[in-house]
Amino acid sequence: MSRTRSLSDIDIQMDKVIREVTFRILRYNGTGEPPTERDYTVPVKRGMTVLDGLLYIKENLDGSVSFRYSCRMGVCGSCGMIINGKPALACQTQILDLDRDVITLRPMDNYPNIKDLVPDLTNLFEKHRRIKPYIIRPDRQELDHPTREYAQSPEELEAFLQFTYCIKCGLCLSACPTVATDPQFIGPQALGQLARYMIDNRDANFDERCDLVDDVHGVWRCHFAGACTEVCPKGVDPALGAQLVKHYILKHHWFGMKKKVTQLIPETVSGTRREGIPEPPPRTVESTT
Amino acid sequence: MGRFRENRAGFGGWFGGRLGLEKWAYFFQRITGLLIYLYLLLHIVVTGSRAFGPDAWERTMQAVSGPVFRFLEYLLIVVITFHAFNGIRLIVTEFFGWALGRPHRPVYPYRTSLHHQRPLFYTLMVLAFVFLIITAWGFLANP
Repeated sequence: MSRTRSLSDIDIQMDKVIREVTFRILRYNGTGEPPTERDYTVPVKRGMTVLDGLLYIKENLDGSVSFRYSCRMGVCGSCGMIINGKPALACQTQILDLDRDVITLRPMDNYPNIKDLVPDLTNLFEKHRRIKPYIIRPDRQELDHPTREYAQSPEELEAFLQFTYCIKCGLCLSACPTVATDPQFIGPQALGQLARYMIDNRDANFDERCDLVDDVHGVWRCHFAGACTEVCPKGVDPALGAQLVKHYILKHHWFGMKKKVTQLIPETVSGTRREGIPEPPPRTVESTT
Repeated sequence: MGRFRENRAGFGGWFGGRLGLEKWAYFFQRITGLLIYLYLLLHIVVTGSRAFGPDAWERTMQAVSGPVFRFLEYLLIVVITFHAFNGIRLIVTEFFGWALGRPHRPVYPYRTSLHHQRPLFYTLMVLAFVFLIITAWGFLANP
């Protein structure tokens, strides 16, 4: 006799503790003293993420454990940390997938540590700001008070869309071996975003962007270790962005590469009214324009 | 800022991190680069002995011969071969932007530029290996 599983059966299974896992968290008190490891035992149910485990610890075991989180679904990019030696988002790492009895958690490398698992991401945002992450065009009036859209085909959008998925979690800078020994290196996140604006055909600032990172701590410090792409939780592929930036800079300086910048879509032709079509019913609300 | 506040990975960040082949290639590219540079310095010092006359040159040549230096010489070829063949991959991907694939809509499981360039990486490493076998044969044939 076949037995069909009812929804309540699954609910019971979801509630069952499957295994107990030790969370080994590197605790840092923010005073410059050496951090110490502390163990917490977490009962793990199906579907629990590392972030859920941390929340369990905070609610039931030790309220003083500090970590950043917000959305719990890999959108906000707050809960980046080093889980069992690999930089990852805590909310996107299933505890049962790790399949370990001990999970070690430490704050992301290459960022100043504030407390426990809370890094100071100021460097990341400053580096991002340095590449001017916004569309720059000569027609300022149109940018501030848009009248129409800029023409962009789906293919032209797909050419840079991948890089726009960046959530600024900072995992790439934590994994990058170059940032590890050269803190001034601009970093994969900024280079990926620079590629995004270099490819975007609405941006008219290609020539200046080529010079932005063309220095010793800029794009040429990148040697394609690919660690950034490997840890990126959104598939943004910052390594590809960095290589494309190098390629564009070389093409620009050696072969005078110029970018084709798009213009506003043509003004729509206003329609003419044919004879014999019934009038629409009168307006029910006042027009505001 | 103290060391623990700064939390920088340092040289430890060059390897490990449970990451892929390319990070190891990066690590070995840097190490082999340093070794080649050190060899260059040594090479200048050794050949510079000729400036002190033919006798000094002969004495130096005597000192750096023998099976141990022969083996070290082969290790040098291993180092240079890896650096050169991996360097070809880096030139192709970094300067020309080839073998990387195009930016595309990321759909899980993500297929990234690393996956795209891996066949090139494997091919070059196989070629490097073949090259090393040929040179090893040459070394053994002419002791």
